[in-house]
Amino acid sequence: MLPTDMPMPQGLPEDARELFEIWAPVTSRWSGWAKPVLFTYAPPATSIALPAWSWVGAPPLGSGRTAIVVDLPGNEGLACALALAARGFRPVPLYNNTQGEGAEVIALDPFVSGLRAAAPALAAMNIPDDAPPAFLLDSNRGSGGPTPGMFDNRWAVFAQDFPSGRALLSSGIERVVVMRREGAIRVDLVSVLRLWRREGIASERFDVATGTQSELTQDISLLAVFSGHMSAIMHGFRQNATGGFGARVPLPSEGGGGFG
Amino acid sequence: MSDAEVFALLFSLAVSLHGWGWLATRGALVDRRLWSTPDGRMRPGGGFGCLATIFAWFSIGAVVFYVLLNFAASDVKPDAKYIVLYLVMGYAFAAVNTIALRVYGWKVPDMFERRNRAAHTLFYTATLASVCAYAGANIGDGPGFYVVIYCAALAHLGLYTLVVVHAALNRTVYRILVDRDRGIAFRAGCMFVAIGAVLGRAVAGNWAGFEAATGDFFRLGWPTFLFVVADTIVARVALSREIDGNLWVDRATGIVYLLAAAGYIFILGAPV
Repeated sequence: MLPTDMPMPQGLPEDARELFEIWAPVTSRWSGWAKPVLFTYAPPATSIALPAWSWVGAPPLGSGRTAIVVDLPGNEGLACALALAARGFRPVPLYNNTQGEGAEVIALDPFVSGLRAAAPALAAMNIPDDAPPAFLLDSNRGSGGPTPGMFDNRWAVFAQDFPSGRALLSSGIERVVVMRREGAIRVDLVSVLRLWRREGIASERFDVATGTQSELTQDISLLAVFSGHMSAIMHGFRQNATGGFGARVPLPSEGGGGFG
Repeated sequence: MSDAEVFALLFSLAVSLHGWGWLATRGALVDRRLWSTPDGRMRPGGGFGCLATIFAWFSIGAVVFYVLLNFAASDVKPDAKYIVLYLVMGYAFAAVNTIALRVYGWKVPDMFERRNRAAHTLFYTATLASVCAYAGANIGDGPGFYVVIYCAALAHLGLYTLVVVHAALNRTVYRILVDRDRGIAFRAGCMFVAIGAVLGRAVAGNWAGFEAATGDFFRLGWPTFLFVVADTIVARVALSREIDGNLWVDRATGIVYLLAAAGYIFILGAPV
């Protein structure tokens, strides 16, 4: 009766607690939102170096009134996180990928390696406990086309994954800047921004390619969010039996498996 | 035991193992591993998901076992087979209750990955509410297990209806799951337990037919609606901009709900 399609990491890596503590120190007010899932996976055989990062334009400083949502692909987001940490922000990893049998729709190893590669630099920075947060997302979290036999580990964020607008306001945060490249923001994040705006948190967008910062012009009305969610449901993310994301796409002869 | 009773036992066992299995698996996989820091300090909310699950599991057993031993039908009390059947059935109802909680908005990751203490409170109190509703259905004599299922289902249906009405009138779900407000979770959770206890009492007693059971359910259970009305008023009067801004008011209000339910059940007296 126990679920059979869920990822089962074989033993916690010895340094998992140390690594998680670097990324989510218990004394930081934002660590309660950091996702532990990626830290439970063993390091891949080959390590990687994070891409170099240089700012274009004038990104926000960690002044205390601005929070960041980094919505960039793969390890580019981790490189950006380190650059933001140097500017006074506390990176908060919200990656919610899982690993399973078969080829993964979103390769997990680069993330696990990236979190490890960035850890020494992050540990060396003296980030204050009350530093404003920089929430880290993978902009490819919903991308890719799963085929039968693949492990569909695409994922989405929910309002529960972030502090509420009330929590941000009580910490002095008045606006959120979404850092990404061109293209529309995914509907899951739009629905979070919509809730924040309803509670008085302004939202802006910073294009890391051009360095331009602008008001968020994307439609975040309830109708837009609802239709976006319906579209996402049609494309079908897979939740495993324990409620987390990630499940094997059944072969046509098998039927069943996942939902959505 | 008849074939139908054996089937009910096996079906309940399957539902229980599935429902509680994925909770235990998730807790063991995620929560237990990273709930503390390398130097042994507990993370806020770390481990509480597992604790809430374990407490819920033991609470179900303790409450149902106590009621079965003391207030169940005269042919059930001395028979270990029937005690096991109704105990397992209680776990099955509580497992189904976790699915109902998911409809309410609560998700398993709220317990473990998100380490949301308000969600832990919601989960535990909602389980207690379900157990109270189920335990009431076991009180008194009856012709078979199907009347227990009918009465428990009736009590749960009433409970869920009121929870949905409450959710429609208030932003409690958001305040618990997104704001992580522990005070509101406690207050709402106590209200659910109070409703579950009163509805459990409303379906308790010796079996006198479906019509009589349904009639008693509405006749004795209607005051539960007052809890929803009262909490809707409290939620508006005690609204705070701060998270946990009214922690002690919320806690005191929750206890008042429990006392009110206990008082009402005491006034009704022993079921007949």
